[in-house]
Parts: sequence; C-alpha cells; structure tokens
Amino acid sequence: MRITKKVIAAFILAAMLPVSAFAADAELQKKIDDLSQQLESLRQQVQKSDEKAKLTEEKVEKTEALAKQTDEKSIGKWLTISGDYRFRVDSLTGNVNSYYNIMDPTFANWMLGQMNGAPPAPPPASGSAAGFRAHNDTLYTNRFGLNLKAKATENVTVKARLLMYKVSGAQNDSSVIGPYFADRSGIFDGTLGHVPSDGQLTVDQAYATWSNIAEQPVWFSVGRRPSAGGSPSNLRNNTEKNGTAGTPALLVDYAFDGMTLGYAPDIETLGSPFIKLCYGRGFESGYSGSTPASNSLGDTDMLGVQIVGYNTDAVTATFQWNHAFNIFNSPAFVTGPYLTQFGGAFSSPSVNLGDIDWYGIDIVGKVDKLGFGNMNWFFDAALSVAQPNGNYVDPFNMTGAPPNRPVMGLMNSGTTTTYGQTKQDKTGWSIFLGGRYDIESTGTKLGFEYNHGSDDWITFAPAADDIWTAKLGTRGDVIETYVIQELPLKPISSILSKVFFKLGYQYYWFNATGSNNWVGSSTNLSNLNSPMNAQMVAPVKTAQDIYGTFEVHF
Amino acid sequence: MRLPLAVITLSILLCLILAGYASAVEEVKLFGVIQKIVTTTDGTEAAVTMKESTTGTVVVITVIDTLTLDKFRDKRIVEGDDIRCKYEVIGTRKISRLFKKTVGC
Repeated sequence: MRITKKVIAAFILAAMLPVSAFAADAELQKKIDDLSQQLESLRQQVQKSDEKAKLTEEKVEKTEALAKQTDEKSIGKWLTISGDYRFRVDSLTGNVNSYYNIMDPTFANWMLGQMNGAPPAPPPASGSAAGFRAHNDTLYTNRFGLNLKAKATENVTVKARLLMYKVSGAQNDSSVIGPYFADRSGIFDGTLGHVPSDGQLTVDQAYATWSNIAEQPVWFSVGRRPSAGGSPSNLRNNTEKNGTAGTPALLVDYAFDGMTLGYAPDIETLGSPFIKLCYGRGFESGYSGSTPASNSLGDTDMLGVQIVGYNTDAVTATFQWNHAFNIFNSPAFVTGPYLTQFGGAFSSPSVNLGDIDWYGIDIVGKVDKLGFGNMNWFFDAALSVAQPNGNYVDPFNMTGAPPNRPVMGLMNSGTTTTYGQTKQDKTGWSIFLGGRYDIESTGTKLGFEYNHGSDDWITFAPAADDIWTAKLGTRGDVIETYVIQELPLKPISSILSKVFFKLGYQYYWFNATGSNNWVGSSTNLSNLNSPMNAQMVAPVKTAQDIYGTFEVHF
Repeated sequence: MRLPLAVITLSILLCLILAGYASAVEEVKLFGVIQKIVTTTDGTEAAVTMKESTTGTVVVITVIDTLTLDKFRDKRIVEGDDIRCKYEVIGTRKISRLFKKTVGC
C-alpha cells in the first residue's frame, strides 16, 4: 500500500509537472516575447536617434560653414576703429618787447619819407610801441580724433583720421590767433584740426598704402599724409612710435597731401631699417597761361628722403633731407587778420620767394629697467638753408607810393631798389633733446625737453601741438616739462586703450624775431630800438604756457 | 693605407654634401594675418597660426627668436596683425627665420 501511495503520489506529481513546466515555459516565453518587443522598440529608438544625430550633424556642419562665412565677412576682420579725446586747459602769459610798429600808418608814412629823401626827422611817437604783457588766463579746448583702418584687398589698406579741435565757448580761432607769430596768424591747409578753432570735423589724414609690392618689402602710399606729430613727439603725446610712418617733428609738422615710396631691406644686423622717398604739395597754384587772368605762381612742393639706417628697440637713427620748391610768401589763410591787412598781400600765396633745404637727424632710444623705470631719450639736430630768388613781397606798393619801399623776401629784407643785390642764402640750425622716464608700476611718466634755434633757423612745423607758436621753430630756447599719470583701468576697446592726466609747463626765450616765419629777415631783439627795424608783428620776448589735459585713447 | 684614406675621403665628401644640403634648405616666404599666438609657459617658443593672404591656407609657424617673442609679450605684435614671414621646414615644424609686421605708410 505504501508503495502504491508513493507511486500514486509520484504519478500525481509527474502529471502535475508538465502543467507547471508548461506554465513556466509560457511565462518564460512571454517574458522573452516582452523582452524581444522591448528590444525591438529600443532598436527602433536607437535607429531614430541615429537618424536625428545625423541630421543634427548635418545642421552643425551647415551652421559652422555659415559661421565661417559670416566670420570671413565680419567687419572686425577688415575694419579697425580707434581714436582719442582730449580736454585741455592752458594758462598763457607772454612778454612783448618794445618795438617800432610798421602797422601804424603815421609811422609807415614817416619811414617811407625817410627812405625817399625826406629831411631827417625823429619817428612819430605813435609808431613806438611799449613792451606789454599778453595773457590768456584760461583757455579751454576739446579735441577729438577718429581713426579708421580698412583692409580693402590683399596688401592694400586705407587709413583715415578725422579731427576736430574746438575752443570752448567759441566757434572760431580768434582766441588763439594773434599779432605775435606768423604760424598763429590764422588757420590754413595743413593746420586744420591742429590749431584750435571751430567744431568742424576735418580730414586730417586719408591715404591708401599698397604693401609687399612684387612680394618684396616695398610699399607705395598716397593721400593726405600722416606728416604731423612725428618722432619724437610721440613721447609727449603718450602715443606709440609711428613705425615707418611720419617725418621727424623738428623738420616737418604739417598735414601734407603727397605720396611715399618705401623699401625696408631685411638686414638683421641693422634691425628693421628702411628708406623712404617722400613728396608733398604745400600749395596748388592752379591754372597758369598767357592770359592776363592767369598766374605765374608756381606750385609749392616738398621732396624728401628719409633713411632710417638703424632701427631696433634700443636705438633708432634717422637721417632726413627735405627740399621745398617755390616757397610761397603766405599760406592761403582761411581765417585771421591778414585776410584784409596790407591789401591782402599776406592773405594767400602771390609770389614764389625761393627754395629751402633741410638736413636733419633724429636719434631715439630706450633703456629698460633703469632704476625703477624705463628711460626713453632722444636727440635731434637740423640745418635749414634758405635760398632766396629775386622775388619779394611789397606790402607798401599802393597808388602814390614812393619808389623806394621796404620789401621782404625769403629770410631777407631790403628795399625795392637794393633787394636783388643784398639778398643772400641764410643758414640756420636747431637742436632738440630730452626724454621721458616711465615708472610702469604706478603708470607715471616724467618728461623733459629742450630745444634751441639760431636767429636764422626756419622749420616747417605750423601744425605742432603748441598754443603760442610751434616750439621747434623758436629762434631762441624753449624748455618743457610734463608729468603723465595713467589711470590703472583695464583696456576694453583695444590693448592700447588708456586714460591719463597730463600736467605740463613750457617756457620760451626768444632771441630774435620771426620764429616760424620765412618772410623777411630776423632781427635780434636787442636791436629793436632802431626805427629802421620796425616790425609787422609784436615781438614776443618770453612766453609761458601752463597746461593740463585729460585724455582718452581708445 | 689606401682603405683608411678612402674612408676619410668619403667621410669628408659626405660631410660636405650634408653641409651643402643644410645650407641649401629653402626659406619659404609667407604673407598673412596672425590668427592665434600660443606661447609656451617658459616663453621660449610660440606657435603662431597664420592665415596666408592669397590662398587662405592656415599655417602654424614656430617662433623661437627672442626679439619676436618679446614683441608678442609687449603686444607690439598681436593677433590680427599683417605679417611678412620667412620660415624653414625642419622635421615637421616650420621654424620662423624672419617675422615682421608688413611695412607701409
């Protein structure tokens, strides 16, 4: 019986087994089916995901290509904008020497009489001008410059500088021009934007440069040149060196229209030397011909050769030769009293007076880590050789004027009857030296400059950044000292951006008349007590300028 | 005696040939714009990515001369500047022999 029970139990169990096994299989199968379905679903999802990823990749590629295209055309790739703003205050004081004033009609008539056989007589008292003090306690000016540099094509760039220089509280230059210096008698081409006047934005520079000509370090550049503010005035201006642009400030500071051909040979032992042939037109005389209406006045042109024979970070040595053809008697003034005085004899060019040669050197250097700062230094020297022709200005040539009259030629004075015999070449010289000590840790820069010009020194620098007169044209001595304090502010618009205050002091001692004026001979100030040395402009003996600026370079 | 002499002569000839080859390594000119300057930590070398002006080809120049490296440090030469460059190919690197800003004006 037991066996039977066991057998029956076994049979029952055996009978149950397929059922449970069948049930387990079914469940397993179901699970397998479920998993298969899930797998299939996942596979489809992955496939869809792959397709999406592929589409996204294609989109990314297209976007990258578009971004690259946009980047290529991005304005920042080809156009650079920079500029500067300056607020300046000047306190000006000058001492005028006593002199005889030829502008006084009574005196002028007396002098003409004496020159033409009238009985000797003392000069009229009205012609005797006592010395006096001229001053402008506060002169405020605003100057704004905007620079553009466009890469037009491979190796061709166009650069421009727009400039505005305004007297606060005025829309003209009447507060800065005066009867003291020829280069501050009015505004003319080449000084627009460099001498304070109205608020007009003028084109100070606009030129195109073609570089790497024939894959050589040769360039050609033409237009309104960067010929103002040259070396070493970048130190006083707290700007970077001009590189291959510009001319030494002792010889030229004037916005010329002209052209340059340059070559920079690869001579490693000389650093980055270069040579430039420069040309500029100082005055365009217009049509000439045989009709009475035409003029025989020649164009005033300047030709120059600049050799920068040694050019490294430590020292740069420049030699410059300039020749001016057909020097005019007067620029074409846009403003000023000469527009009407003397019947306009000095309002615009009317006669060519001769030629001038200039020879100059400009040596600048830098000594790093001298004490707790860096020392920038410079030494400039120049010769001017004025070669008058037989022409002169005859301001007293009026109806009924006597035959013998005072006349003025190129660096020579005389009379209508003797000028041709007495005129002679005049050689003058000048030196200019100084430096600036830069304390990098505090952003402080201390500058000192000195220049001296002989009695017959003449330069071509009417656009110089000086209020009284271009200091480098002084026939005498000038000292200038200044301190620059840069603010420790992070540059944003450019790595060269900066903000700074400057406080400066200039003092002029004049030895002779006619600084920055090539019309007529100079007279030593100690000889002004003779009525035969009467002057057209008030002869300044000493002058000072205390100035302060707030400047932003961006 | 002849064999050592031959060896010496061949050696000298080989040296001369190699020296001639070295001096005849061509300098390649390049005019382009700096896209990127990457200076090593110790400042002894810089990898300058340049885009050649005519073809737009991107070239990486290795600068090792201290004068040019100083100009990178002082920001006298920066990204975006137009450059006139001469380089030699040594191994896989293009080593700069002349690296100057394009002159003009």
